Amino acid sequence: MADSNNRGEVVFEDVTRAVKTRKTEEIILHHCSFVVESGKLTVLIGPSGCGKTTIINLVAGYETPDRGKVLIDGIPVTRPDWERLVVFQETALFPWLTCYDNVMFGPLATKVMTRQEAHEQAIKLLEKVGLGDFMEKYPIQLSGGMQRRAELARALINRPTIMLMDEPFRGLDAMTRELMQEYYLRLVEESHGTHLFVTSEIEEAIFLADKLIIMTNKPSRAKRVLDIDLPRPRKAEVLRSKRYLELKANTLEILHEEAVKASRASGKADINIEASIRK
Amino acid sequence: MNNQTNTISKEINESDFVFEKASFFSKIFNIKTVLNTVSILSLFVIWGLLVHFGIYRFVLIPGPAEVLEWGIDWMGSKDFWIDASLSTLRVLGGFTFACLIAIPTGLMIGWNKVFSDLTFPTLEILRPIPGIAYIPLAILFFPWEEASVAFICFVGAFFPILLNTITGVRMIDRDFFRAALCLGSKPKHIFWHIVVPGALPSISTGAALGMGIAWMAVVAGEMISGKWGLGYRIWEAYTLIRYPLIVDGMIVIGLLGLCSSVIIRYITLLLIPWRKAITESLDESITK
Repeated sequence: MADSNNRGEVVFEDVTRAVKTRKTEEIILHHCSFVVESGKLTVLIGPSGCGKTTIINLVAGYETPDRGKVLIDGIPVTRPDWERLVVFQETALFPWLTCYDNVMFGPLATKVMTRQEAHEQAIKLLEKVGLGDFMEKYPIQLSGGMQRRAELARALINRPTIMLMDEPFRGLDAMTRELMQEYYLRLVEESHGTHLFVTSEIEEAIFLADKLIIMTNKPSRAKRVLDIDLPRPRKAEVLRSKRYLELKANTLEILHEEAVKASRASGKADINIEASIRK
Repeated sequence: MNNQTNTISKEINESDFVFEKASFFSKIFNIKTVLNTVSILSLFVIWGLLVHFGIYRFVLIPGPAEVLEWGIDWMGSKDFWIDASLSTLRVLGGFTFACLIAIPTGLMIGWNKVFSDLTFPTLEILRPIPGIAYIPLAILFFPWEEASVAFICFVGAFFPILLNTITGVRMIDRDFFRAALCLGSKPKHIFWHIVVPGALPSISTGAALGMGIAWMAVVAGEMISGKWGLGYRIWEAYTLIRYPLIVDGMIVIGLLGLCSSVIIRYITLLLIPWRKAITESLDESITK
């Protein structure tokens, strides 16, 4: 895995992306630039609706920027590729395949490894995420946390250069969420790939991240990049350390500014609406 | 003290209730069968009473006893077996062809924009024309009478299967396609591993609907063009004033229709094992 250590660098160069509806054009990303370093876990955090999913889609190649460039190791992204794997907000496990077959989907599609090799890998990964006894179950028969773990296994078996996590633990209860974060960290610390993790939870962000990118409100850009210098391998105890609390306070302050701006902006919008009603 | 005993007795009552609930659900199967039998019996009783007392024009309608008598006679004859098997074969022939053509076409229309724009308008024009309207042309066109009746079944079954296949493909979550793409799927792989299994539940609904319509079509077709078959027998019974035989024919069609939908449901479960998992988890939540 040595080569993936210096591969998988994502660069956003002055990216602008707008969503056009029939009449209006809403700018989601505005001159947004940042770097996701290779081999690190970068967490993107920002107010909800600030275009985090758009960033994931741009890196994955589902969308293309209107202006600016999205570069991976210096090459612009044009289409989805199995080097960049997305773990979705809602589970996207295929309901018609068993847990095991879901994990085997990638290797059988790309044929980069033999079936036997894939089989061994799949079993190893499923056992590692605690699904060894659930391989023949269909996704609908698994709990939310199990589904997410199966999805992690399905992604990791392909040894992607870049993992894109789009709020993958949203909607899980607090306990499961914590467990999932620990599972995830253990996998990340072993895999060494580049990870881009999107979330709107501060605790999660700081607990996981090597680097934290804080986004502004829409139209958004990267506001601040923080180095999270908490020790690795990271355990839950970190959440009680002094450094963690400092970092959290710092992040909260920056996010608070944005939240205030957002509420002012929406206040203005309300006034505008009122004015237009009066007219 | 008193309070405490109260809570204890309450707890006991509650656990009793849970126990009773479980046995209640094991009983429900029996109650269900009883209710189902009552449902069928009451149909015959009401029919018998209406005919017996000659309410309104029910004097003209044959009663259950007569129908039973004629039915036993008819089932003993060779005619019955020829009629029933010919009708079934016509339905199966038309239905099979409809599946073979409608499912691939539907998958392509649902998946491929160009193919959809190319074919869908034409199919939308043809769709509202009922299968029965094709009867005269079918008789003209096909040299072989079996083919013309089977063709009418085909037309009847074709559109429900086609439309359900298209909807099935279009209802597949966009994330599944995206996930497949980033897992390294190529278009052909996506077609076989996402489009086909994703549309299967809807296709099976379409097949069940199509089968029902094929039975409707076969009766209409045989009434007009057949020399054999259940539809023909019903019409012949009317013209020869053998009224009880009409009802016998209707009952046989009903039973055969029932059999075919049971078979389709069974095949569906075999093809879509994850559906079974879904219904099982649903059952669980209902029982809870």
